[in-house]
Amino acid sequence: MSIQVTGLYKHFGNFTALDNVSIEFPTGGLVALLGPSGCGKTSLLRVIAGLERPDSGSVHIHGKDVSGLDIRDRQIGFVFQHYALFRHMTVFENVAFGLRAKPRSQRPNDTAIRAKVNQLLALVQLEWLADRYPAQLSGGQRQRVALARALAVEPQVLLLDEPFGALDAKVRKELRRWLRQLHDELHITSLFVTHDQEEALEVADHIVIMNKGRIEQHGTPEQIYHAPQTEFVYQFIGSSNVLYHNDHGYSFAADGQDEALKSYCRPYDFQVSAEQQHGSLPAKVMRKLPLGNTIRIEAEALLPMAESAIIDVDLAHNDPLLAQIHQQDVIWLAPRRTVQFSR
Amino acid sequence: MTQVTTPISTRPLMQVHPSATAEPALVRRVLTGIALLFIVGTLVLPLLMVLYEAFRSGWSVYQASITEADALAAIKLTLLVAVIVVPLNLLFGVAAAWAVAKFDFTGKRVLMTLIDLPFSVSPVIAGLMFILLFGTEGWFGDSLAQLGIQVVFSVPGIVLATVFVTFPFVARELIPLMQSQGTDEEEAARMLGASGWRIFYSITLPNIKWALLYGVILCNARAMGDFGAVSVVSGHIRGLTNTLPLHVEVLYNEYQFTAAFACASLLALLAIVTLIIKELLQRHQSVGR
Ligand SMILES: Nc1ncnc2c1ncn2[C@@H]1O[C@H](COP(=O)(O)OP(=O)(O)OP(=O)(O)O)[C@@H](O)[C@H]1O
Ligand SMILES: [Mg+2]
Repeated sequence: MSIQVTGLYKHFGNFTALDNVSIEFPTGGLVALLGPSGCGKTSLLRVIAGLERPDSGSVHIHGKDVSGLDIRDRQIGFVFQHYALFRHMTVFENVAFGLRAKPRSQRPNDTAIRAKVNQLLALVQLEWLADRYPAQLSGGQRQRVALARALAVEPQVLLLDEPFGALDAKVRKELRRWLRQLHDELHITSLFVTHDQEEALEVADHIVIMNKGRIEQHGTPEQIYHAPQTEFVYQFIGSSNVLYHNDHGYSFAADGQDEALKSYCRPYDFQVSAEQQHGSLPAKVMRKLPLGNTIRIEAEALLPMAESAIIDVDLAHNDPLLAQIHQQDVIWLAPRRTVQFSR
Repeated sequence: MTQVTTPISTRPLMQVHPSATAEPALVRRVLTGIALLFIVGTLVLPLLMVLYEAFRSGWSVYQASITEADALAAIKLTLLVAVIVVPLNLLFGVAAAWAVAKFDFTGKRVLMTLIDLPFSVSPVIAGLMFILLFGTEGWFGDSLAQLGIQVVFSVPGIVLATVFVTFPFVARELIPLMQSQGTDEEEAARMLGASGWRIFYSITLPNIKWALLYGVILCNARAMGDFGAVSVVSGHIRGLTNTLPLHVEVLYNEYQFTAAFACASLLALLAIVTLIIKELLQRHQSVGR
């Protein structure tokens, strides 16, 4: 089911957590809500869920205004940032809770509940833990119980708040792949919050980027990655270097020239050489970081000396140049491709 | 009322690492000895004295003392007060703790301070407060008298004063626990379609049950044992408005020592039972869920 929010405002005291947010999330999609800490991701999710009342604006789910609707009638599944499992209930009872809490007329009988819960536990691969208590589970297992619990009531929409936030890198990766598969099986409209851009790019088929309570840009991962529309999105979605462009070419510092145009350059968009070339800028190699397929060079910008800036440069791990450059060497950088944003 | 501290060794969650205290054995023993002596002298001995005095003239005298008409009336009144007050404060306490811990509202701080008020006000003042409100010269005295309701020097006054004095026990026990547990689980239950009532009894209540029971036990002990506030509002009418602690005092003042100590032994027994239950509960709490 599609979710449409229009003109949402939410204030906490003087602080504006949501600042005129309007957006539509497509039916059946897996959407990532991406943004830095404190930008209002959780607030937006809570407003959609009905846990928080917006100061103004409306939420439509499948074309129906749910503003006046009780949480129970919104049919939204919510997976909390810290799982919020019921600590005094077993895994089985946690998952069964939503079914048992239904009004008598809609409540399935015990056999049906048992079957449904077992089926869900199988789906999240946790049948063998049905009798454990949440305190006896690992983080990844808790996360999957939370998901099974939310799915038990067959929500129209699934909201996940940093579902993998508290997990280590490897488990994160496994779970996000698994979430993607699950979504492809169930086709529930899902919206998940993350502040990890890699996670968003890898899992979602649509990304919404938020900053300071506003939506900066939304689109497919390709659009976000290759055609960032604002300075914020460009900087948030990957590493970048700041350059200044004027009549004479590029420099690392504005150097007091008002006309110098601020430009951005990705670490892999430099032409690197050991000797000075036409239009290249000198930098001193500080560190070489092995990042797998690429080697990142952290270099200190040398000219002009106005401010000391660290420039990130990426080279392929098999680039012959790497053998020639060592710490404290000077390398020459010529930007191949830069991006400007008009203000 | 008498209180007995449990020795450190039986307390859960507390670990003593011998190597952490490097004092010589002699110093350790002397210090422990002083502490034990102090506890025995101020807590255990008085308690034993109460029992000794109570039984000094033999079992039959003891029995007669606590089954005498006025004593029975006092016991009955004490039980009646507890039966009314404890459930009331259970409800008030849970409601107040729930409001303070789970919601944000203006006046929350004021409510927190009010909850603590009975602890910071002398019980005698609390009693006087009710006299000022409901006594014949008091604010509501006339209108209540016209309705034929007597509050002061009668059971309603005793109940009111006891409610006031014992109000914080349940709430104070619950608030820190409920605050530390947050509202996550309640919100999760709401998202799963549970009604407010269902959320309370199947999520909130199980999470606080041991603390709640503990608060109720303490509240009960105080409700039965309170002297100050009740003494002011009761009027000391024998066989009518004397609770057990007041009855003990009356007997004592009349030099009926054996009878006084016999009745006091009942209160001492209550204290001991309370402590045992409290200890069991704490063990339960620390073991798990
Ligand atoms: N109940 C509240 N009272 C006051 N301020 C709040 C409240 N909830 C959120 N805020 C503020 O609103 C802003 C947005 O909060 P929100 O939880 O939506 O951020 P977020 O994007 O989810 O951040 P994170 O990635 O750290 O979880 C934050 O600056 C936060 O301090
Ligand atoms: Mg958040």
